[in-house]
Amino acid sequence: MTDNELGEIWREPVPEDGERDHSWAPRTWRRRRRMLHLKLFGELAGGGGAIVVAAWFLRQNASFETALLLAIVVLVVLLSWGANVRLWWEMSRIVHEHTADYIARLLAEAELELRAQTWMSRIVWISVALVFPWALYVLWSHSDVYLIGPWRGIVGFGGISLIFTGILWQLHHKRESLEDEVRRLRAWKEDFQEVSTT
Amino acid sequence: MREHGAALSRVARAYASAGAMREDLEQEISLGVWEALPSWKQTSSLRTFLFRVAHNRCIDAMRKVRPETPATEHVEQQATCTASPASQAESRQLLGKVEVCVRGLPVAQRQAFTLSLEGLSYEEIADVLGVKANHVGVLVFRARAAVRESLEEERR
Repeated sequence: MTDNELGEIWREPVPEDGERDHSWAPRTWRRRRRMLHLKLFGELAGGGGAIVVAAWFLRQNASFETALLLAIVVLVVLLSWGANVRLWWEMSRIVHEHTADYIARLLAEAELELRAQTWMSRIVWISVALVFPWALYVLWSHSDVYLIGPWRGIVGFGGISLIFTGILWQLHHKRESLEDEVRRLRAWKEDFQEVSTT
Repeated sequence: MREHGAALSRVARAYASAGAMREDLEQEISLGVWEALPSWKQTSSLRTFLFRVAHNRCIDAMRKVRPETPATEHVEQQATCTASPASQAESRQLLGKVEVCVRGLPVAQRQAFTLSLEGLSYEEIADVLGVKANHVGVLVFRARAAVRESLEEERR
């Protein structure tokens, strides 16, 4: 089979091509744009509101703790806004890039996210290692209270165990999918590089 | 979309078989084009620009889909070239076989090959993919050999 024949087969219009309806596109795009604007406005308003509330607290009670709270709130809000600005900048940049560069950037982002996820898992495991001995100590030191009302222990320790188990389970699955993604992106990048060095 | 819609739909065809997944990809591509068009600075032709946006959108969508056969996808999917419904018309059947073979190719080969089937020159494909034109030749050669081999196996 010649290249032309293959090309003709490939470009041959299939029945649904002619009947395909793209009238949904403007509606979907308008909806997506509205959602993006709502998200942006929500984050701007929410972040600004959080800073105002923290500043109001500082005005009511000017202490080191409230100043620290205000500083943390401002930092988190600025980080969130920064992440949004970066996203918008990336969104406008990606279309100018070549596909090979795009894959390389996706891989870099996925690897960064995987590293962050790994550290997050470590931090949670350290928290588990710290909280459980403390919980056992509390159980032992207040054993009289827990013997009178065992439900307190069930609710308290059960709740903590459930929260930690949930977080670790979620982190494990997130990490698995990220590892999978990184593996795939590495294979794609190698695929491009292999040819570039041929 | 009227002018390039069919070509962009064929990009989706290289990544997903018919059904909801392909329709999702087509929607993603259309949205990508809507979003990207204002930033087109006419440094490349509109056609290559649209293909780049479409392929990048498909790669983004593929990242989110967990592969069922990650390591052996290439080999296994090529082997399924023979599994085409016998009731369909011959040309449609052949297109179906080519589609399956194309989807079984590694990503870089798949992109270069489908772009060459669309009639783009090696220089234009190189512009879309970000590799050198002679490397596009290598990619297309390998892809074509793999597709032909699969189709020949099917005929025997």
